[in-house]
Amino acid sequence: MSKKIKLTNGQIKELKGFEDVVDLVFEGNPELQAMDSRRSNDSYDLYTFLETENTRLALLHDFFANRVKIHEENPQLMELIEEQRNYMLKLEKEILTHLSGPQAPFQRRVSVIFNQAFGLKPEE
Amino acid sequence: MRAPILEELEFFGLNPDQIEVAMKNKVPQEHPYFVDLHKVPANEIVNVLTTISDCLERKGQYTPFPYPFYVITPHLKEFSFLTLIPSRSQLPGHFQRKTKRLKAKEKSLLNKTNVQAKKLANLNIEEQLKYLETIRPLQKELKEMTTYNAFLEQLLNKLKAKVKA
Repeated sequence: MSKKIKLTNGQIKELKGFEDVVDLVFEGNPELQAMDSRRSNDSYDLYTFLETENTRLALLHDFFANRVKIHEENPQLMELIEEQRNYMLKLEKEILTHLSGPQAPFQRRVSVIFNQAFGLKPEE
Repeated sequence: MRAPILEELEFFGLNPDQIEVAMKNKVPQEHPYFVDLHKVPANEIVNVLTTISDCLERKGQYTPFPYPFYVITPHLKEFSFLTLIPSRSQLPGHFQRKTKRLKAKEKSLLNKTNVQAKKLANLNIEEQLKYLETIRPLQKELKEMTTYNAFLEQLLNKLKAKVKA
């Protein structure tokens, strides 16, 4: 496998016509390759950072200037908690009716334990 | 005009006067700063942090918005309103960038960022943070209740499926 030598575009231009000399200097037929220009240039890093920062500040401004204010002026927390509490009671009631019915899994398991403990035959 | 890149504040001594001089021209809310106090012994750290927090309070009401002020110390986890972190590796990567001369495009973007930062600094964030603090227990209660209700819903669905089977 030939060895790869990474060079900038300028260096490759300077070496134009002298590629054969490179074979004499380096062993094993080296291959000249242009460097990834984006990797050597980190200017996009700062630009991206400033864009992200701009978005971060805009979102923070929106949160404190609009969202918190709306929440402060129209508090809904107590109503939502009350609604959830009622829903919880309804769900618990429904679960209890399911568990206390004769064909409920809980009832069936209790009957199996009871029958086994008192040596009774299981109901058919 | 500087990009909001994390900068270290250096104290040349730990006397209150020396700390005040070091922080004199620096406004933490206008630029992200950090101070490394990991060499300060545990018995002195409280005094140094008190001086720093007093200094910040004298400059006006401090909030970590738009830019926070970090103090590196392994001895304490919380102190007043300061943001304490145990080591340099815990500093936010977002603000850690290479400094370099800005191009025209970056300068115009930085102008926009500065306008956004000033808009944010002009808001009464201190009051809103207090409001958020007051509703925090209620928010927590609502969250716990919805999680419990989701569990109950799941349980009920399983029971219904078993009865059908």
